[in-house]
Amino acid sequence: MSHMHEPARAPAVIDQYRITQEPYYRAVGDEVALYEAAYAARLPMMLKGPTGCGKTRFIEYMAWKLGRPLVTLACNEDMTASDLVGRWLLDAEGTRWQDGPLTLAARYGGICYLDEVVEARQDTAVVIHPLTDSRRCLPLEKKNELVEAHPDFQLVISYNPGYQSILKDLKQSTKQRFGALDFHYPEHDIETEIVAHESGVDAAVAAKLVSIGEKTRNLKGHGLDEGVSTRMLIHAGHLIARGIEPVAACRVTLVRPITDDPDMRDALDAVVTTFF
Amino acid sequence: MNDLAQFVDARRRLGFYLRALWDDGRDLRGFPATPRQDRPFVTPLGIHLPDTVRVARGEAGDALYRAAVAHAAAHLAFSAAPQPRAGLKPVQIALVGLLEDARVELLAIRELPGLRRLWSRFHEAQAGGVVTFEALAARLARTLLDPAHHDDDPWVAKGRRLFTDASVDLADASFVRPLASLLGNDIGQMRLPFNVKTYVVEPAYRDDNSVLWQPDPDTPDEALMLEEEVLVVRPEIVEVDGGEILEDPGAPETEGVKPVGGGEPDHDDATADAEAWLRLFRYPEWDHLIGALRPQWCTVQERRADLGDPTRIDDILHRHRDLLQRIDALIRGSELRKPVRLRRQMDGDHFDLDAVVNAMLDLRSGRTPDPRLHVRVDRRERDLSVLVLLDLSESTNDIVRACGQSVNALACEATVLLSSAMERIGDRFAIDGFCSNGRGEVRYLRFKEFGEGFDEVAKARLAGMTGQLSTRMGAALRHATRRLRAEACDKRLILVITDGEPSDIDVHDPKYLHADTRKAVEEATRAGVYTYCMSLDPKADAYVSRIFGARNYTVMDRIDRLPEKLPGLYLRLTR
Ligand SMILES: Nc1ncnc2c1ncn2[C@@H]1O[C@H](COP(=O)(O)OP(=O)(O)O)[C@@H](O)[C@H]1O
Ligand SMILES: [Mg+2]
Repeated sequence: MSHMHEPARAPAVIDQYRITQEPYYRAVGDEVALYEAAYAARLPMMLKGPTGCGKTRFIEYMAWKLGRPLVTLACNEDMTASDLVGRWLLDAEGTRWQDGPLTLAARYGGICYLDEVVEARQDTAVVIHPLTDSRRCLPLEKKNELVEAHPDFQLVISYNPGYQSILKDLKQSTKQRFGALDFHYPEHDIETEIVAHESGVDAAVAAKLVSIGEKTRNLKGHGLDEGVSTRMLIHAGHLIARGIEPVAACRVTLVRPITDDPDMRDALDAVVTTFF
Repeated sequence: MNDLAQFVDARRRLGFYLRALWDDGRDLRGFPATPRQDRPFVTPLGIHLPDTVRVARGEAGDALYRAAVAHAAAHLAFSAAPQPRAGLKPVQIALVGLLEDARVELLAIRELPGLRRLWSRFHEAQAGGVVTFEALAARLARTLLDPAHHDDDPWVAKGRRLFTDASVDLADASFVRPLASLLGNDIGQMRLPFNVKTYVVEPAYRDDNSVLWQPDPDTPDEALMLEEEVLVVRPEIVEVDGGEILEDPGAPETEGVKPVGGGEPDHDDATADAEAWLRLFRYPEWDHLIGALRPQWCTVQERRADLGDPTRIDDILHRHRDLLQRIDALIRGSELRKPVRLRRQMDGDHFDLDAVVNAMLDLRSGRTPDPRLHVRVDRRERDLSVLVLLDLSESTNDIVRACGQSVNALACEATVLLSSAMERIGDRFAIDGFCSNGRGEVRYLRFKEFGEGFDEVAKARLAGMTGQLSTRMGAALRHATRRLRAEACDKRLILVITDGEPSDIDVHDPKYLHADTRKAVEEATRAGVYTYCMSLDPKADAYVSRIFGARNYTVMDRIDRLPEKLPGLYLRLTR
């Protein structure tokens, strides 16, 4: 691999993706050190774990710590390859090329985070392949350009292994290009700390919320697709911090959103009143 | 005024409740309550609850059931293994139960504080009134649970004081027996009679505490009398049919799978429907003890299924027409089926002429044009072949009480509805089934082929489905994998529907077939075939996730709802 040309000087367009303030991230294990090593090797990374367990927050924190811009894209099934790499636009002067988030990060040396990449259709997902092997380049067919990745560029994707569609699973050939970090809901005391910090409730209330969350996770695969996430617990905490009665706050932020099944709601309400 | 609450109404909610709070998937079972026997009890079969309970008007009947489930779960979590009753007087046995009830409840409350409220509402014993053993016992029970409750009876007060002193470490149950003996002696000295025959544990949510004691050889085992959920229908003789080994002359030989020439199987295979057999195959089997595959170990006998009466299937379709309509709406709503032309796209296969003209006009007049100039044909690629693999073992003849149908009939019904959904979507599918009689005879029936429509013949074959013999799942999975691999398509799925764990007559170590089935699943995955298991066995959690992987199974909490659930599960699995 050679870098014959000077990497393009980052213009203002990439600067808007810099994270200037330290995001709050509570490390749960050795993930920070592991990630730093992976970045140093420019290894593409996959953050695995259920939704709302801290993957996005982690990558924000790492981008800040490493001083790299972070370009994030939440994937969905209507996305096309152009949403990733860019497209021609029309304006009064004629046509103008606009880089997509992936191109932007590759060209100017950012971390590109593709959230829930399984949501994108498979033909869309394969455009990342040339960036994830020794080529480290991105062909822009429509523009007839081959973007060679900036030395600082790194690709990171998130992936929820609990996802229940076999048709949307990542191709084996895609998975094998990445190193992976496993994320779980943090253990009790750490999750309590996070919920308290993020929502403003005191530690005792946060601990109860976390206990409720843990109990709902026992139902994963037994009536629930997923248990209550850290993010949802923080939502409950926000309402409680604003003076809403805890049982009502939990009903609105935890029980109602997660299921429509009346028997399940009833059981979850009973779980809530076991702690509040 | 009292109302009656029904266990059947609450059962599903209670199951979720037990699973959430205790991570316990134990079975909850109703039993016909009588005035003499209406307390819950716990057996290896699960937690048994009275099928009706009286509740004050306006009260949710669930509260009592919930209190009962939580109490039983507290025993299961914190009480020791059953003890011998040796040397204890009846009154002391009753008191051991009372103190142990308090101990496990207080332990549970430490983790789950709201349980105190749930249980306390059923403790109504008041100070004062006639002094009997039953009255004092109920008052002591209340006092131990509710620290705010005051009772001035000297025996109750002594009981609380000694309990509090002795139970600094609640997790250590060794104080219970001596304290029960002491309090029991006091009762004797107070000359309060104790009648074993009429004594019942109070309050009503508490179980009879038989879980604490080793069974008394003189009393019959109640659990055996309470098999109310599933009526076991087992014929005494299992018919064995079989036949000459015929090879399908058109069948290509596949690598690693040799059609068998003879010498198998080892029972007497004479006569009968020899021409019904298509082919025989041998597959290896994984022996976890030696950590290796035993080559050519199992013989799969493949045949087309016998014909039954196809109108049975049309009946099913007719009976479920509302559900079918809902499924239909679901399919249409999810746009699974046909390619769609999307206009006004940023990118696409070609230009949308109208949009281009408008854009040119905009440009000429100095306005910013709408950049969405393309038309894209979205194929929602769905190139999927599915093999539904039905467990046809003997246990599928069991009758499910909730609906009076056999497991087999429900699986058939569910398969019919699923088939109609798959037809609507346009997915290619086959329906097969299996059962086994030792490694030499893994029967594999083909109900519907990939290429065939879901027509009269397929329906007739499904209608003829019966259950017999055992469940050698690994061999069946290997054969299904082979069948599916021959399909030219992008994604392949085996959907296993089973009511129990792998087992067979010639295998005594349950782990053996678990390990082999798991191996077969891994082999399938490596061959690009997904496997998903729909289990109807409430105890499946113990093994099914290890066999199929954490995300590749569902355990049906109510078998009778399989027909309505299966198509939905399929749509979600493949959306
Ligand atoms: N380890 C952590 N440190 C700090 N905040 C966390 C942590 N884990 C979860 N959170 C909180 O949970 C919320 C949801 O996490 P997020 O990173 O958005 O989840 P994911 O990307 O996994 O879906 C975050 O906004 C943050 O408030
Ligand atoms: Mg008890």
